[in-house]
Amino acid sequence: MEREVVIETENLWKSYDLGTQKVDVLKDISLQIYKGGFYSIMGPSGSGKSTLLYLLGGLDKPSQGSIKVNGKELMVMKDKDSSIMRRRDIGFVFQFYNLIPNLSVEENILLPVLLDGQKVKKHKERLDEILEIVGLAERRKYTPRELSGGQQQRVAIARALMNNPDIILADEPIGNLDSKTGTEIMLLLQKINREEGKTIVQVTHSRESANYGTDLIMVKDGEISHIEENIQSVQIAL
Amino acid sequence: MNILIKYTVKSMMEKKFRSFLIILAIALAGGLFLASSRLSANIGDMYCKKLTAAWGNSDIDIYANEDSPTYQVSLSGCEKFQEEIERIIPQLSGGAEYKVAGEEITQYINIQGYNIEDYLAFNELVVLEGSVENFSGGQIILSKNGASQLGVSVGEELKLNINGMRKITVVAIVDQKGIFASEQGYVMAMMPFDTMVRYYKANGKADMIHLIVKDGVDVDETIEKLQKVYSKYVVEYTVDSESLNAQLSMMTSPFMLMTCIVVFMSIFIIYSSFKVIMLEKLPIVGTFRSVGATKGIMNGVLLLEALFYGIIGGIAACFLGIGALYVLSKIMLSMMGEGEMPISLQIPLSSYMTTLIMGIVMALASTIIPILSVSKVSLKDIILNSRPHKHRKYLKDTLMGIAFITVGFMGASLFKEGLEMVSSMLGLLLVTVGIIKILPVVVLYTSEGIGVTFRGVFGNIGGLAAKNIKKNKSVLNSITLITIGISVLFSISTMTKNVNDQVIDFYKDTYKCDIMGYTGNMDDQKLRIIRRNENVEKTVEALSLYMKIPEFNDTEIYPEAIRTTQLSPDILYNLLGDEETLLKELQEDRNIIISEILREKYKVEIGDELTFKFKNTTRGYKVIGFMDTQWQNGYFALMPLKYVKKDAEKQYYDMAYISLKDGANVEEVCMQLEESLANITYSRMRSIDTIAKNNQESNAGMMGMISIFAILAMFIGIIGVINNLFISFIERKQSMAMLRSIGMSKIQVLKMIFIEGLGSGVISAGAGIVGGVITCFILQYVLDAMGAGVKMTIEPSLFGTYFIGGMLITVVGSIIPARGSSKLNIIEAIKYE
Repeated sequence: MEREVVIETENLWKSYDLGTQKVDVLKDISLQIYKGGFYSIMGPSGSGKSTLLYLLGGLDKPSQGSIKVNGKELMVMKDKDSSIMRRRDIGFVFQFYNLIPNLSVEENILLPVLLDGQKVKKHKERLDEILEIVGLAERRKYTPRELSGGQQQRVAIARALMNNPDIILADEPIGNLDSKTGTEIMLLLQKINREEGKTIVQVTHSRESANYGTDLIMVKDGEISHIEENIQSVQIAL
Repeated sequence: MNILIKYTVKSMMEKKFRSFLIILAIALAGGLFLASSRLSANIGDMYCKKLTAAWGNSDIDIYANEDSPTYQVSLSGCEKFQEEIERIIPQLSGGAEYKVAGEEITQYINIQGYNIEDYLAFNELVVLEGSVENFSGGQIILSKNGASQLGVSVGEELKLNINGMRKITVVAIVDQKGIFASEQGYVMAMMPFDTMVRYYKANGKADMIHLIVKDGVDVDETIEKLQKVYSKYVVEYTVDSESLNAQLSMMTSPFMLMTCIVVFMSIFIIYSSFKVIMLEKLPIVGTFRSVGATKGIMNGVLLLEALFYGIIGGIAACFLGIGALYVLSKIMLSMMGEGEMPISLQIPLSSYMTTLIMGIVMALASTIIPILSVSKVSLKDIILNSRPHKHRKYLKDTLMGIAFITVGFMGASLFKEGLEMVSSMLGLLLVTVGIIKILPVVVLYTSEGIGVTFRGVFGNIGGLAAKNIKKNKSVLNSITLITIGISVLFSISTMTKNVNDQVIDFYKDTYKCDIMGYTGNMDDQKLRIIRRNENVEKTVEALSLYMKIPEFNDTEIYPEAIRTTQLSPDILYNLLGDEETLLKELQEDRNIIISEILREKYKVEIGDELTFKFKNTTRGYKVIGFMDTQWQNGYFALMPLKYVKKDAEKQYYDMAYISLKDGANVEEVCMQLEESLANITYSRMRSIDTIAKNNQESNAGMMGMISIFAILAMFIGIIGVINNLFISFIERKQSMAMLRSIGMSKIQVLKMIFIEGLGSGVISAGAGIVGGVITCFILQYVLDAMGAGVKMTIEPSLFGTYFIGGMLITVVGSIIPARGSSKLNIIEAIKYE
């Protein structure tokens, strides 16, 4: 059976001007992300892995090349359309959680719905369901300041799931957490990948956290050095 | 340490706009401080100089007043003081009329008789044509302007009526200096003293004696000694700069008050600017401290930055202050009817130093809190950016705010007897602080209400914007600044409108007569001349007093003694009760009718006796009634002229209220009366309309100047708002980037920012108007303390203007974060959290 491609890049280049020098951060990247996969992008610092993730999510524009998300070309999209895509088709999880401090847990989770101009009432069930998944039902009225790092990252994951997107992009999701909390978050992501069928692309430094996924993309000096498919995954132990 | 200083200077240079804002705030506040603190002294100096130029640099003057036995003063009394007095300069004045050849007009000539050597010893004389050598006999000196007005030249012979027809020769034409400097509306001339004595048969006496005392002699002591010799004459300083300065400082006190508000707002701006600086520098502070810089070093470096701003701002303030003082002096002089006086600025070095120190203190005091708050954060928290969040104590702040407002009002209303100016100004300051303290809770609840409306009108983005208003501290700071700005402007414009309206109403309501007439030594003979005019219906002569009343804790009141039978109904003092009966009773004995204000303040009842200490006698006047009047700020009373004249040993009245027959042309009658009195004495007839108009113009000048200060306060406030919008944007860069990352479009971000601007505009405009109304109430006490006699009435017509104005500031100001957000790099903002 042919697998469905959700993200596809072709001859992707990203360059920055550093003073008088032009630095190529990504060089000619061609890549396909398949539906239902859990991809980990690994590589040394400065290799371009985070840049690649932000390009895949439409947070930045490539210097050259093409990126298609669900068959739609990002390069030609207007701001409004790419914003809608980030709201509905993609969920982001960041290393520093990036929550709005003066909004409660549930308000933070509901943000993509609010931004989409939808009525909150219609999404009450979905909110309850997500809060159950991330284990924060009891703390829905708390503000991020009142939560631990791991709990804040759970809120960020819940927010990413709220609009039921196909893809979740995570930039070092456990980079700011201790190992125990990190393991919990990775298991949560694995569960979401397996049980909810979400495609996940994460950037990580650690092979251990990459092992929670299905595929490994190694990046070095702005190029994909190799890809490992069907890697040995850590089993769900929740 | 050098590297840290280098870093500080570099970061100041890099953030040019913000550095400029801080320096501008210090410069404006310091400049206004310099100008308003020097204003009264500077005008006093200029005025004294003008008087000195006109009346010479003598130290003491002796002259006759209405109580003196003769109009002229003998020089012999001074001659006993050879040890103290360097020179005795007698002066004898007179006048003449001269019909200009070929013209219909007659020019009045004011002639001053001096010995030329005496005059040159104490005053200036710049000869342009002719000579003043051998100045004697029938010779006259004219100024350039005077000669041109009379159409005469040096050597020409004039026929003048100086107590008889005389042939006078013009011997010199001089510059407009000395006694000729004040030549306005008439021609000034100088003749030899001896000649004037002969013409006026003065027997060697003068009508004014100027004395120059020897170096080192105590002038006060000499005046005291001379007063004993000249007991029935006036012996005083030639220029009493002390009392002049006291009067001027009353006039300039509103500017000091406005300066206080401007300084207050500037401190707020510098404080908020430094908060941004600290926010931005926090990671760098962390880096420095992680490599070994101590808290003390870092605090020192940051304070050094504040010191730089203080010094530069203080120097700029000195320059700005010079300009501001020039402008304020110009306006103030024109208000005093001295618009033509050349401006000279006297700013001592100590004033510059004070301004510079004030700039430095302002900068350091405003920055110490943000610096210390950063210093308290642990190194780990700085590096990990995990500073603990402080919860605002709404209840505590609100209670404190209410307490401040209550104490402010109580303080302003309770303190009297000389403390009212200080207590009312302090009250104003406390009320302002109280409003600021209450604002957070006002914002909290109003943003809830606004949130519901915004969600309905603008959708979810409107709801998000309302939440940002509710919790964002920088938005709160902007709201605070606009609220203060609008409060100040609202109360000032309310005051201006009230002053303008009430000046006209006051004169029209109080004086039902047509003309207020003043003449030299007004008596029955002069009144008969006035009454002889066919248009004059009635005259009421009045004598004004200035008395300290022991029963009122020696407070000064300003009663007016009138001849009551002629009072009603031409002059209205709003007597309470039957006017005719009261006035009749007033006339019958030593009775007095006092204002309602005095009755309430000193709990006076009918039948109480008030003690009046006259020069040679003390008399009790019985209170027989009250009147509702604002005249003399309520420190006013009516007394019977017959008894007051007797007790005060007065021969003359001060003035007459003149009522005209229906249809008479008031201005024309004024001129006719002045003409009919011209041969006997100096006179000044002013229509009530002219007096009201002049007073209104004078007030308009004062109000205009206060308005300039208020607008400056608002301008500084707007600078602060811009600053806070910057802070807000910096603080929320990361949140905005996050919202963008999860799908908020650029349009939605802009929409959110402008809705926030609109919301905070609505709140600050509303709070500003409420604050303005409260300020108006407390301002009433300040105005009362200043003796302004203005009742503050709130003008609802101003509400709309200020509401729209407040909203415009925040909505237009939102362009700043809007521009920033459109250039926002999502990845950088997220990664460098």
